[in-house]
Amino acid sequence: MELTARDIVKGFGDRVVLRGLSLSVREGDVYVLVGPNGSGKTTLMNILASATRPDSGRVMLDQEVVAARRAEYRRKVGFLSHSSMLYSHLTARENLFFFGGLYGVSELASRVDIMLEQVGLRTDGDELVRNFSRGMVQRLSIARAFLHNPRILLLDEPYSGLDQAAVSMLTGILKKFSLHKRIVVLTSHNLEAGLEVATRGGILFGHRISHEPEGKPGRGFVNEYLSLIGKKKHGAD
Amino acid sequence: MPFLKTIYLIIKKDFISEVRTLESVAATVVLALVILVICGFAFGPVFGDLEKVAAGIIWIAIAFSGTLGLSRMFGAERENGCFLGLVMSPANKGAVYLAKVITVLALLLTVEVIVLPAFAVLFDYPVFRSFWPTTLCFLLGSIGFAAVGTMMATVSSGAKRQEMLLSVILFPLMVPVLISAVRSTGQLMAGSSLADVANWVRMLVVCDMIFLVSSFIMYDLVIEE
Amino acid sequence: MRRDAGLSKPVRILHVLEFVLVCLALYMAFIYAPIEKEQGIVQKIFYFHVAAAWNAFLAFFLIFVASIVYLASRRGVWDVVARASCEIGVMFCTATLLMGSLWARPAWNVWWTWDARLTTTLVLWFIYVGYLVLRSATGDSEKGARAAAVLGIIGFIDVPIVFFSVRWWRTMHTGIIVGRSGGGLAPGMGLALMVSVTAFTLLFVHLVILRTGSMRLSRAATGIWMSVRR
Repeated sequence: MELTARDIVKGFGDRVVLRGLSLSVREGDVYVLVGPNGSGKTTLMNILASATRPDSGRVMLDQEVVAARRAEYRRKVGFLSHSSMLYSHLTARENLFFFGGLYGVSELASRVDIMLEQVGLRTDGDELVRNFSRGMVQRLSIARAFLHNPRILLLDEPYSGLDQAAVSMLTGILKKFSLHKRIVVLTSHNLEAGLEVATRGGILFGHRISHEPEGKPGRGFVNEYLSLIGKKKHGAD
Repeated sequence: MPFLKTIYLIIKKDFISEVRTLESVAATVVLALVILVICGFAFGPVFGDLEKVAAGIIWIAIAFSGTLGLSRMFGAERENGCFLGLVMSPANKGAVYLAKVITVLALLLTVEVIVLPAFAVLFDYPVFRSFWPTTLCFLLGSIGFAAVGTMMATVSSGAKRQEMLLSVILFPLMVPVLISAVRSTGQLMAGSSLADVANWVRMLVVCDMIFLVSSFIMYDLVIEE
Repeated sequence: MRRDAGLSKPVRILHVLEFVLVCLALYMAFIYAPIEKEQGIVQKIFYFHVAAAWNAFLAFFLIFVASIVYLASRRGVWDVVARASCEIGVMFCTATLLMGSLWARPAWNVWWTWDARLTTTLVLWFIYVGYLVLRSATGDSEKGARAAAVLGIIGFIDVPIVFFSVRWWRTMHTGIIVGRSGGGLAPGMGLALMVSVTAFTLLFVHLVILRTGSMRLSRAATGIWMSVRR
């Protein structure tokens, strides 16, 4: 299984965000995408998830263009975006049951219990989401993304809002997850956590992937990224 | 059948959510009542030829408060990006449309259940002279509003100045439904029989079907980001 | 993009033809066509009022077609055609309404009549304006283009039912029932009308083409989603 983005171009009004961006992720990969603020990581994630259409270029799963069979593609995707995609006036359990029902998850009741357990929300299952803390909302969103056992996981800033315990929890889930022929792409400002799970990495800069080492990203990758951030801070481009 | 199941799930979710907050319902009902009272001041204190304006007043109240309710409902859905969640799911988008129409219709019917007796009281007018025909026409008119309103609320969602935009694009499309609903309910409340207003009923049915079918087909296109 | 100096021969011929026809239409309306018995010289507004109304509805039809093609093909140029057509259409629609009003006053002593055609044109005007407000509120985004295309389609389907419901509504009431002046037209009038309608249709098409061109240029210069080849 291979997820490919080819020559993606996306702009908003006058502003170009992505241009000539290409990316390829295979099953078993956990690809961590980093880049300075405003570089277009979220836009790229949205495009990969097929939440947004690119202005040009395409996303392909195993050589088949995703846009042609969106519903089928989305069934396989678990997406974690900046917004929680959770209903504040429903309980955690009700939220999961709703989405699980839409995705046709089998044995939903036990699956919901398992997910709540895994993200550490077992005791808060019947609490309204509007009463949740930021970290709890994030954990529930993660549960929602994993709920239907997707083959492809796209996580935009999954570590944001999580305390150290929750970060380890997510790292644990991701490591287990990636063992089973999945594709995972995640963006992260938390370099350390991201690199711990990553098998591959890429830096999004200048509207495309500017730096993509072979194999697991290491010191070189980190340095390259930090220097880019430094450059941006001083206005040089 | 996943199609029906999707509709059921979404309606259930909307109902639970709405019942817990009563946010949209309360605002809509209150606005409708306010409009009735304002009309009371505008046309009173003695109401001469009420037959001529009764249906108009009621439908103005329904249309304006309904637009507000529509805005609120879709606003709530956009909160937290839940609409995106729905879009990203494999749920059939036509099913999402129908589910939303039913929820909006439920909102409108709730408002009507309160507004009609309120009108009867405030204006001393026999609103339910012919109960079933009048109910039918209110129902058909409300379905038309729900069908077009849901579509337009989705079309305008996320845009700047959404409430204003919704009113502007919704109103001209609503004209045939409004005319037919006002004429038919007006005549029925004044004592005509169902046969007398048959033309209007037919028009309502035609409008409802046209809007429901065309929106159902095109919903997929507007719901995407 | 072609520069103006390089307009092709047939296009220039068309421009000349258009100019000639407009002048001819003015002549025919004011001088050639006979003066109507009852309303006198005021009736002559008819030639331009009908021409404008025809183009207002033609514009709407164009929006309908362009919207469908845009949704089917996702080629940005069709969205631009729809939008340009809407802008020019709203101009013609406003002109229709103003002329209708100016005509109604001396002819029937009212500024406005709620007759089916005029009222439908008014509703059409609102749909146009709604379309433009929608475009402005959604910015130049692709989502806005899709949303507007759907509005263009549903709006177009709406117009005939608006017309019929207003017509039934009108026949329920006594009051000022206004038809167009009489049943048959005197022969000179018919010809003048045809010339006028043709002239203004050419003008309309010309304006839409100009507006489309200028929008494409501005989009190519600033935005990228339209200028990129799919």
